[in-house]
Amino acid sequence: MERPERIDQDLRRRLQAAEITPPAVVWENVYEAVRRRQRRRIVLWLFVGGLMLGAGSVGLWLSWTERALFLSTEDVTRALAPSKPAPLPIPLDIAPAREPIVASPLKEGEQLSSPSLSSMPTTAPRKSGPGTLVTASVSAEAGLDSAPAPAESGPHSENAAAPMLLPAPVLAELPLPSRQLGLSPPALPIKKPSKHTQKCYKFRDKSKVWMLDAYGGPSWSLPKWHMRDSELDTYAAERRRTETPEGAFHAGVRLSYFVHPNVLLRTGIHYDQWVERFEYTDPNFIRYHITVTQKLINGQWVNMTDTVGVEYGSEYIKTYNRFGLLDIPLHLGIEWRSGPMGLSLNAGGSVNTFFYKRGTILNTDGRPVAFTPSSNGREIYRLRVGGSVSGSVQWFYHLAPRTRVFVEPYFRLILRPITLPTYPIEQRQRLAGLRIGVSQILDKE
Amino acid sequence: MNDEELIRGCLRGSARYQRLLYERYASRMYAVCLRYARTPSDAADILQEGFIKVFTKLEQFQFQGSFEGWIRRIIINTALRMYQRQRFDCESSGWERMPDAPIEPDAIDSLSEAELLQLISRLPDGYRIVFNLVAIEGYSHAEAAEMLGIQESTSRSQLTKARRWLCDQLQALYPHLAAQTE
Repeated sequence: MERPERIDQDLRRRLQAAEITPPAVVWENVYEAVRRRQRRRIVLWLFVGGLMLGAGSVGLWLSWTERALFLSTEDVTRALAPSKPAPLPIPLDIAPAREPIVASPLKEGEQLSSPSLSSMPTTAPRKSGPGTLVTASVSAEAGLDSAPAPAESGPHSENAAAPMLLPAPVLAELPLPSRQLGLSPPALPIKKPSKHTQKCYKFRDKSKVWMLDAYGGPSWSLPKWHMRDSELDTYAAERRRTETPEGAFHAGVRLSYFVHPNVLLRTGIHYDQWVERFEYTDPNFIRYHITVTQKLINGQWVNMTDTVGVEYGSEYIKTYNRFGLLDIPLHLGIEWRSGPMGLSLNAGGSVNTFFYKRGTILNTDGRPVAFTPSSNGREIYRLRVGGSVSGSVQWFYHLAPRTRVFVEPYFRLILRPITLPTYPIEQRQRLAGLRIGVSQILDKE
Repeated sequence: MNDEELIRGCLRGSARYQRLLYERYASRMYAVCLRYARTPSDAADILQEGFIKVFTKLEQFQFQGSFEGWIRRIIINTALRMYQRQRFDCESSGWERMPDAPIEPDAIDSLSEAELLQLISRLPDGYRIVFNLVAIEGYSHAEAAEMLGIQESTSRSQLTKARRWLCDQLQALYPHLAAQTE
């Protein structure tokens, strides 16, 4: 009897270097798929480049704003430098004060007592523009005659002893004697910011800012089928029986711009994915192995068909069907804030840039068929799904003036059916989800 | 043009070099695919998916070892993946009780490569995959078992059955190759 290993060796020798020319269509498909992937990669890189360029522009703009502010402050300081108080001639009968007296907030019921002139130092008058803050250091002159002109409204002033800052317009409103004396008025009640207010970003100071969100979370796929042929109810029931939702998720980054303290324009990149499990069992699976040989009988070639084997058992197929959507949304948001938290309503549309689909479903002939593109299966889903409309409600909470966390339920409706018109079941797709994320207001000030 | 030049041309995205690389290896790899697939159509699918992977993962080739071996490995993995994706539960498929089938020592040599590939493609899935991995590619039973997610003993058993099945088929299809038995 032939030793079993002999057949291995013989077959290995004959087959390991065997060459069979493949069908020409294989190269065409390979070439097309490789080109498609290269194009997709280029588009992705362009998109990432665009995002980085956008982010860079925002960063540059913010740093430019900050630098402009810094320079203007520096200019003011430089302009003030020569006007630093020169030692004034002090009358002999007035002793120089060693420490400048600095106004401080008064406690409730406390009255500001006028210090004696002799104990007051002098400061040079300073000019400032409206709206700037003024150090209201007490700067009484030794004598009114020798005193410099009273500050109309002073600019920043560095004072060693933690000065109380008053807005220039407030100082401008002071009664003349006080201004001439350079004295602070009777202390204005200073409201200490509450703990909650400290966490909030002051949109009143700067309303037009950018905000960056990053989010992710669970989703729910809500497909809706419409039979184009009423006789396909059994088929639809079979499809429902063989397909089970396995979960979904979403993730994205979003850039928002406050065009108004309460109105935002939002865009970014959003990815939705849902998974379905496909299970198919045919308990009566039979496969016949036949051979067709040609024999010369009575001078004629005749095809002889022989059944050489029958394979029987059960056929079981289990696949995880994956669908992914990559979209660019454009939303309008309206925001209300109260203390450290707030609510925003968002609505708008999105454009699909990529529709990923891979898996197997039951075909109309009752057999499993792959719908993955380039799998030689059946084309069932569109290349891209087109436009969607969506809306969301966001609840946010400020952890810090520029940092928020948020939860945001959303609902999305894809406008067109995601299946091709040639497929007998029209599938419309809706998605719901819960975004959980963090926002950063892009303002360095 | 050697393999390295071909690879570098493909990495630059040149369609001409991609075509040349495909033409150099497609015939050999198609023969591999035919051994693992049930039908020529499945083999073409494996070849197509395998070469797409080759071109998209080419930058991962380290220029160490045989490039053909690297491609072959990708093609085999693609074939196994296809096999595992649609696994057929055909263990009790009626091939359990095969009689011993003696054949002539030079029986294999008297058949063409196409006939041999056709013969192998008729093997039930489990037998065919194990036979290809162990008998043709030279993997050990432990390696084959790990690749397929089966027991080593199952791999041995499948190989034995595959051999018997092949001998029997050779005898049935080509009676003149059967050895004279006492």
